[in-house]
Amino acid sequence: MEQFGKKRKYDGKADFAKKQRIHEKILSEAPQAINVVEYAKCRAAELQLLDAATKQRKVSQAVNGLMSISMRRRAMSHNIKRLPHRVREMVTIKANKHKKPSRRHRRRPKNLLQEYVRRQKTKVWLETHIWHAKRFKMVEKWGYRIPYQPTDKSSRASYRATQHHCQMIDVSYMCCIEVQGNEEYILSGVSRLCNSQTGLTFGAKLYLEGTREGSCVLYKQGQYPLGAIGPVTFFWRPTSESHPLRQLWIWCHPASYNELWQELEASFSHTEDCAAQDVSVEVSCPVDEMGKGKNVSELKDKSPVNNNSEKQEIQTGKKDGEEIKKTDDNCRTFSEYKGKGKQQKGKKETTQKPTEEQVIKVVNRKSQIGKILMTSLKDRLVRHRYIGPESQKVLEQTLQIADIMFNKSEPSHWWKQYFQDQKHSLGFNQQREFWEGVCHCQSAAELSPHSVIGLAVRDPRVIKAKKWNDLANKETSEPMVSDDTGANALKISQDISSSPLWEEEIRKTVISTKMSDFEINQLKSEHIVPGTELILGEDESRIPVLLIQKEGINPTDMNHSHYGSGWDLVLPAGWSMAFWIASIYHGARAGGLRELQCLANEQQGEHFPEDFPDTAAGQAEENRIKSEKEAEHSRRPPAKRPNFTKLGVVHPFSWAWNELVDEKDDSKDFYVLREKNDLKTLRKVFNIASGKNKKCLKDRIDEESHASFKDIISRHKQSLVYVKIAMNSKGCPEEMGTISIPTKEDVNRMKADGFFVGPIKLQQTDPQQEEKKEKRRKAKLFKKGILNLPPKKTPEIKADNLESVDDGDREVIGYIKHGGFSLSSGQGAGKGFCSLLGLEKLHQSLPYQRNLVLIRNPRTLQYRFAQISV
Amino acid sequence: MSASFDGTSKSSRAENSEKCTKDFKELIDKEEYELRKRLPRKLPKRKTDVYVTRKTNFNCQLERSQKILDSENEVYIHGLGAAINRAINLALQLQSKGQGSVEMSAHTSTLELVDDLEPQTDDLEPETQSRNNSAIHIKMYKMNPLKVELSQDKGDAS
Repeated sequence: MEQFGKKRKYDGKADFAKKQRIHEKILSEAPQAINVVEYAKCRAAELQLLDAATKQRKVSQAVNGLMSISMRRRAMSHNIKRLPHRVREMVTIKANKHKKPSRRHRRRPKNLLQEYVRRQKTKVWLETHIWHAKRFKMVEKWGYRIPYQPTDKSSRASYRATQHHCQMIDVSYMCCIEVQGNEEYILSGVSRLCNSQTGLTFGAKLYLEGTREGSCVLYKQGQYPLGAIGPVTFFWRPTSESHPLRQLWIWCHPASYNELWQELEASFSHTEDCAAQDVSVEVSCPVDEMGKGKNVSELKDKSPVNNNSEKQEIQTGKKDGEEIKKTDDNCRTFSEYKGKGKQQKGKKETTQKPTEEQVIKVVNRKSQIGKILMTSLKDRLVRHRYIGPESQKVLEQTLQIADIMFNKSEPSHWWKQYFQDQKHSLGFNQQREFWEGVCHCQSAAELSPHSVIGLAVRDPRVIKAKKWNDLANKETSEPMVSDDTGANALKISQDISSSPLWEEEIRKTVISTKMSDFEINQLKSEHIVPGTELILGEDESRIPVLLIQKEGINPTDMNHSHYGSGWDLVLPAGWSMAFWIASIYHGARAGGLRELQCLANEQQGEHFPEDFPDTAAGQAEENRIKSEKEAEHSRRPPAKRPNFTKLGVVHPFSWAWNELVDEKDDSKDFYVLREKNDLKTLRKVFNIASGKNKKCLKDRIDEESHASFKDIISRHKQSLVYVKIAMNSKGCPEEMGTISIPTKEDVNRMKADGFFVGPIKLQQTDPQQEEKKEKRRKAKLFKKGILNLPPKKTPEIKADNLESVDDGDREVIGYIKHGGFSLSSGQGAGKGFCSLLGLEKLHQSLPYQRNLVLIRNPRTLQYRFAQISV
Repeated sequence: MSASFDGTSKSSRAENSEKCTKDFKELIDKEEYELRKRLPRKLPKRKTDVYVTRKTNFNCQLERSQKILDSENEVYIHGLGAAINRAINLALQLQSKGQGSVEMSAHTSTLELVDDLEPQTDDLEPETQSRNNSAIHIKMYKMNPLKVELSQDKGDAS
């Protein structure tokens, strides 16, 4: 209480402003009188706070402060009655906190569901969440709870899986935006966001048929080359006579989803010349309405843009039967809850869950712009990624083509209706043949790249999975039969790519007619021969799926060919878990976000959002990494952390892209060079194969490409170039390391001495080190009570040590974005960005060794030689 | 672009003298198309198959085939295109290591390879180009495996 003593109150600050005039008098002579009321008023709040703070204490604190050490007893911290009476009421009793109910109680289906609902309030769970949460480290990102890495597998295991087996990753968080309308209108709107110089766009002949998936980087309209939004993949719905309007699915990353949506809206409203009209349907309806058994899909049907009334009728007709089913559904398993949770709610579940509508906050986001309808299919499609040569086998086992033959009775199922159409059933037969051909291939890389295949498959839950060992040993027969039905014979056509998955009504029906896991299990248990597949006939679900081929990396000198090839499987929502489990049974190895990153690192490809520093999402990611790294650094004691001033690292926690590009400093904006032709020229200049093309190394680049190189530089002064880094000898590049130009002496030394790995940077002096030491010493003494002076707080001078990017002796031209040991090449490798101006300097200083750079990691003074390629 | 492809293709492209491929080559040079090779069609892989590549260490491949030969008494060595030399070398080395106990029989075949030509501009159709490449399949087997095993057993016993 000394701090609040009388003396201080007399020259208190509250009166200071008011009695400025007589301030000097107060100092000189004692006050005549004090206005008590006013005086008390000023301090009332403060005192109240103090009072509250002293009264309320936790148990442990109470014991600490209020009683002498000799009187303390261990039991006091648990049992309040052990405390003396006078102290007791000052203590907030821990015991009156709500006791955690027993595990048995918590695991009751109802309570567990409630808990799940609560946990999903702030983020979205993937459908396979429960499965993953038991086996994976989960992270919260982009509004989703995403599996990051398996708890029992290293990244090396994941590399092995992608190289030799099958890695499966749930990427259902990828968001899909559907655009519907006339082809011309769509194209004119969408083409404002992409630039044909960066590669093929939405309107490319290759993609317009709808047989292939395309990809491109989108920009904000009119801002190219600045203002990148992010990469997207897309595919068109194959044309058919019954659908004059075209449909386009644009798949984007959730980090760029909102930006893209707005930008698309803006661009369409510009071309259509009318404002965007939000026709989205909020489904978060009152609880009692939910209790009446209305489900989400039904509510969605109320959407004004639904003109397909015929199908709707049938669907509602179906629902009556379905509700009867649902009444005995209250003992569902949880995996199944996950599958159904978002789509339908049984009566009992909803009435007992007051917070239910929080979960189904699925907003049917739609907007009508002129003649174009944009629909968000976020969380309404599931996407699994299969990587590796075995993925072919796994998919072959998991996806069994459904039987669509039926006697011509009343068409009660969606597939009967859909395949009644002669054209559809013919297409189905073609798809079946095609898929059989595909199954003969040993790897996805044997097929034409990016092809989209539509299939209708059986319910994977009724098929008995083969034992994992059977799979590996099966292929022992048929040694050298050269079947020359080559991959060339498999021609992709529009019929093969078309799928009922495109139709909203069918998607809904497929979800709503899904037999619950409980029912399937019951049927299985009643099955006479256990372990064999169920025969459900027409009652078995047929699920429309889309398969998209991923071709892996293009084979070059440096890499193993087609690494990372595989398939993407697109399913209607609600079916994720069934297919996931089936694939796991068939030998796929599950992975998470880290596996995706590792794959990109091994491929040395760009991964969104990390490797797109010119997008908003990429910058957010960089900021996150920066704060994380800073926190990690400051957690360590000073002696146990690197002194970055001494190491001469200006930005140890972030990438200073801005400083790389602004030479003349007109604008601090930078962008990544993505123009295909320019990159090609750069490749000609900088990609020199290490051993083979010695001749090429000796030659100077020909005049033509030299001229175009100069031209590129004049056009893209503010640009960064994505480079791949390969180490010359040992060592690995690390995040935030620098890429700099070697001096002539370095190169000469390297040539003379084969063991010369690189020069060593001179250690910088830390001007503040002595100060810091002194400060620490004083603080120590002060703590001991020897030195009475409180340590003065000197404002830290940070501006001083901000050097220019010129890294002392060797000029920095770029930073390493990610690096590490590459398992495919067996040495250190990484990826980074260099400024184009820096590359020009590199080229000028070393015309014969133009891809030779020095890299230095932030925690070392050692430079190492490495080679870059564009 | 062609500079960045490996030798396998270059030799095969040189062999190819069909007209259509020349046309495509022109198109590629004009930067209208980009070449992307598909993986060659593989046969189902058994335990005894070794597909020879030029990127893997030779000694490693030799050791691996030796191991298979010892355990299974036979090994099939497959080589495609530029890797044929290597496959033959591997087989001969195996034979000389076997000191007369290993026999081999070679088959040659022609494989159809497919390249995709990816258009570089929006108004071009995708194309595929198929070319042929030679392959070799060498079966290495122990002459009289039973006998060899017996003799080994005897050696162990003594």
